[in-house]
Formats: sequence, C-alpha cells, structure tokens
Amino acid sequence: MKRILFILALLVLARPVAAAELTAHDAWVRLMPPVAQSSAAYMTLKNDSGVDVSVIGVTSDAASATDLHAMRMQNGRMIMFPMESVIVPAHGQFSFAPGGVHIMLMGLRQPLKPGQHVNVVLHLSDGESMQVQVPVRDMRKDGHRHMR
Amino acid sequence: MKKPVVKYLVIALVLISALAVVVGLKLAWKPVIPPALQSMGGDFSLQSDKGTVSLHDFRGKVTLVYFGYTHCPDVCPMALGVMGSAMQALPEDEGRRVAGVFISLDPRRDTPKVLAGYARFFDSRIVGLTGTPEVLDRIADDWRVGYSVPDAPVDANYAVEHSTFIYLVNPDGKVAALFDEQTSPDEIATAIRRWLD
Repeated sequence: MKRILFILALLVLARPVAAAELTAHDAWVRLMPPVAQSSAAYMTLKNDSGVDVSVIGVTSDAASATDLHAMRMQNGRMIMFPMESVIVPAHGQFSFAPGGVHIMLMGLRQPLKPGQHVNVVLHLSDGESMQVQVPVRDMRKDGHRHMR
Repeated sequence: MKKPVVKYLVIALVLISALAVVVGLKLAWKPVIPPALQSMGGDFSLQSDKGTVSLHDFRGKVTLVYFGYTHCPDVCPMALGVMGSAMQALPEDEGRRVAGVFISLDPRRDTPKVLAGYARFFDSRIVGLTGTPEVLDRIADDWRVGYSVPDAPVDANYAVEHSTFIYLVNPDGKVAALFDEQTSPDEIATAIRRWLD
C-alpha cells in the first residue's frame, strides 16, 4: 500500500516539463500478446547540458511495478538484474534498447494496444521528473518489413 | 555504339547468376549437423492447451524450439518475433512444413492456456508447451538449457534466468543449428529451406 501511495504521489508530483536539456527520442513500448503481463519500453535520452544527469527511477500508470533492468550473459544464461540508476553523460546520450538496459513494465494493468501511448515518468538525479508518452509498437510487422 | 556492350554484359551477368544458383543449390543439397550439436536435444512430451504434444509429432517438419517464459519482457518476445518472421518468410508450400515450439520454464505462472495465447501471437504455427519441474529439468539437461526459477510467490514479478538459443530441429527430430534473438529471420529461413529439400 505504501508503495502504491508512493507511486501515486510521484505521478501527481511529476511535472510534464523535464530538465530542459534532457530529451527523449525514438521511444517505444513492445506490443505483447494479450495474455502477457510484462513488457519493456525503450528510448534514447540525449543530454545537451554540461553536467551528467542520472535516471534514478521510473514509474508508469500502465503497470503495477516499473524498474530499470539490465541483462548480461553468465554461464550461457541471460540474467536480468535491476539497476539503481543509469547515467546520461554531459553532451552525450544513453539508450534503453532491446537486449540491453530496458524499462521493464511488470503487472500491466491492461493489455497494450497498437498505437496506444503509455505514460512513462523518468525521475532524475537533479530532482526533476520527465514525462514521456511512449507509443506501443507491433514488432511483428516491422519484422516483416525488414524481410527481403 | 554502347548498346552491344551493355547487351553482352547483361547476358554474361544472367549466365553468371544462373551458375551461382546452380552451385548454391548443389552446396545446399546436403546440410550437415555440426559435431558439437550431435548429442544435444532429444524427444520430449509436454502439455499444450489441447493435450500432450511431443517433439516426434513434428517429424517431417523443420521445427524451431525456444525455452523461455511469458513474463520475460525483452529477450523472449524478440526471439519469438524472429522465429515467427523466419517462418512467415517461407513460401506457402514450405511454410506448411515448419513448426515452432515455445517451452515455458515457468509452469507455476504459465499455464498451457496462457501459453497458447502467447505463442499464437507470434505465429499460428507456434505451440506453447510446459510441464512439471521434473520433466522440464530432464529436457533442459538433454537440450543443454541452463535455467533457474526463483522460489518466489506467483505474484512476485520474478525473473527466470535461462539460456537463449533458438534451436533448429531437422525433419528427423535432431538439433541441426543454433540461433538466438539477434539472428536475422532471413538467415533462419535460409537454414530451414536447406533442411526441407
């Protein structure tokens, strides 16, 4: 319950305007089968300022829990592990990408639909929050398009 | 003035392409299973929403097999997407001779019914299967799958560690090639066609 209140509080406090220098690009959420309860969001964050900015948390009203996750191969297994934060370096960028660090949406409140936008709030080390409207993308169709 | 040159060039190109196709077909005629894969895999029987399904049910077809779980947000849907795209890249007649198998290592959360809906999303020829932990352990041994399911409550949003191979099983039921979620669907489709001759 405390956690839910905390998330709700964050959602209320989250301002739509982010740290001016941080921008999100090419954001998308993976369309999953209707029975699936998890998905992942991806995007590239660009930092045009002269100081590093960290993403220290992420929330979304589309899922009951949202985490930063990374993956690595260990003894031939893919291991997922939560990350406390990721750094978007000054005048640099950080990409959440398939097979890499991703924003994991667990316990989807409703099945995602193609074209729908999911509200994701990034919480930053400078105390600011950044709201990103992330479109749901059906990768099956993209897969076909790339085929020759 | 230039035209005859172009004409001869085109004829030469057509001949060279035809030769390349013939040589390519010859080379592709008898695919070989790499020695490292020869002791990998084996028959199994697991549960689908429509009853028991065994690997030997797919004899005569090329079957793509993947081990994962439906709560997996990233690698599993990537791999199943690649499998589906590879199958859909085949011409219709060959498309009838491929199958896909998604085996969930997380039977506590993935019921056969959930798995059916999950697998179908990627391609109607992919079936979703699972079984008891004991049966899954034995299959994982045979197929060299490393995995571990945490001892957590069903609603705890836990992650399952697992190996991420896409296995190509030839029409005789033998593991013949390994791919993963990074492989291009075209490459897998080409490998499937080799085994369907």
